[in-house]
Amino acid sequence: MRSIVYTVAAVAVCIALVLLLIACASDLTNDYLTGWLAIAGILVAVSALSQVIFAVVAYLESAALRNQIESLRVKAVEAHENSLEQLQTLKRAFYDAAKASIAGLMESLSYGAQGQSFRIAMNNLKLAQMNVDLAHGTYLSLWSAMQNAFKLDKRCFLELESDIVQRSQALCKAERDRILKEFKGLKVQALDSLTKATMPHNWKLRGKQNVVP
Amino acid sequence: MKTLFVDEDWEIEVLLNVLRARHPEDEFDLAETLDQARKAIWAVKYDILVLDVMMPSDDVVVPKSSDKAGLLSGLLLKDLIRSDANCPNKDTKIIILTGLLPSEDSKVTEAQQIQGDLFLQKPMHPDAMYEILARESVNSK
Repeated sequence: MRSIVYTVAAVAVCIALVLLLIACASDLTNDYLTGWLAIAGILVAVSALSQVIFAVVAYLESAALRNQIESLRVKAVEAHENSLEQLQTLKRAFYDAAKASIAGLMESLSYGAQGQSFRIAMNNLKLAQMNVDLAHGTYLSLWSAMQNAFKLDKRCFLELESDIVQRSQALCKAERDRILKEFKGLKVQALDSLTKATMPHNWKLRGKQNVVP
Repeated sequence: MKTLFVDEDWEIEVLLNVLRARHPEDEFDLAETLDQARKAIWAVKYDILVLDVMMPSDDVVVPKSSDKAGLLSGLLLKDLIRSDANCPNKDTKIIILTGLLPSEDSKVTEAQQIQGDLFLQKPMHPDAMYEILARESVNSK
């Protein structure tokens, strides 16, 4: 913008000077005075020309800077995308490694004896799986964490709410809405079964209030 | 014996690895989504189907499976299999394998009552699972 203003100003000064010289040359008969006016005009024209050159240089500089900024921006975007990709790869690698180690433990349990200890150990491994699933944070892994918590322990499931809400922020809108809707759906069931489990047998639900008969 | 497991849980992947290693003469397939399950069940005849109750919902494949956050999706799939005359597994024996307690939902309680000893609770030991599969496979022939 600055270079355009300089150019316009310089061209205007040149035109004005030329017009002035033409006017003076036609009115004056004194060649000496006309000569000085011409020299003065040339000086002003040179300075105007220098302004034009300055404006052109400023324009070329700004164009070069703009190109540099653009190439830097492209490089920055590429670097950002690369680091995101690396992050995703690392995240997947962590998930796969964690899954492999938990699955390995599950498999080794499967070669042992049947019974209550097998059941308890498997459930503990499922709790570990739940944390890995939560950390992974995809729609399916969050769903898996949710349903395992729901099956294993309703209180633990309800405690997941803030984690699920926080982790779901990284998902696309459709998946976020879906996982939150599904959490709400299961929450109703979890609250219901906790209420049933903690309520004395002689309590009855009347409307929204628990009333002791 | 040709069996299809419909479950997305790691535990079942592990169970199948052990069963495949111990019983290479039998065939154990796994469908991890309702979509995969529907494709497999409507394409191949199995001796036994083992369905999980709570699968990630897919309303296109199994209508209304997102109701109650997939809590009943496996049971809905079972109803679809039983009600479709063109399904090659319409009369195949179905085992329900779930980590849910029957008290979670009236439909789950109902399923347990209908299924009887074919309603199994996770986690299942591979030996116990194979015993049941072998027994049911013989019964169905």
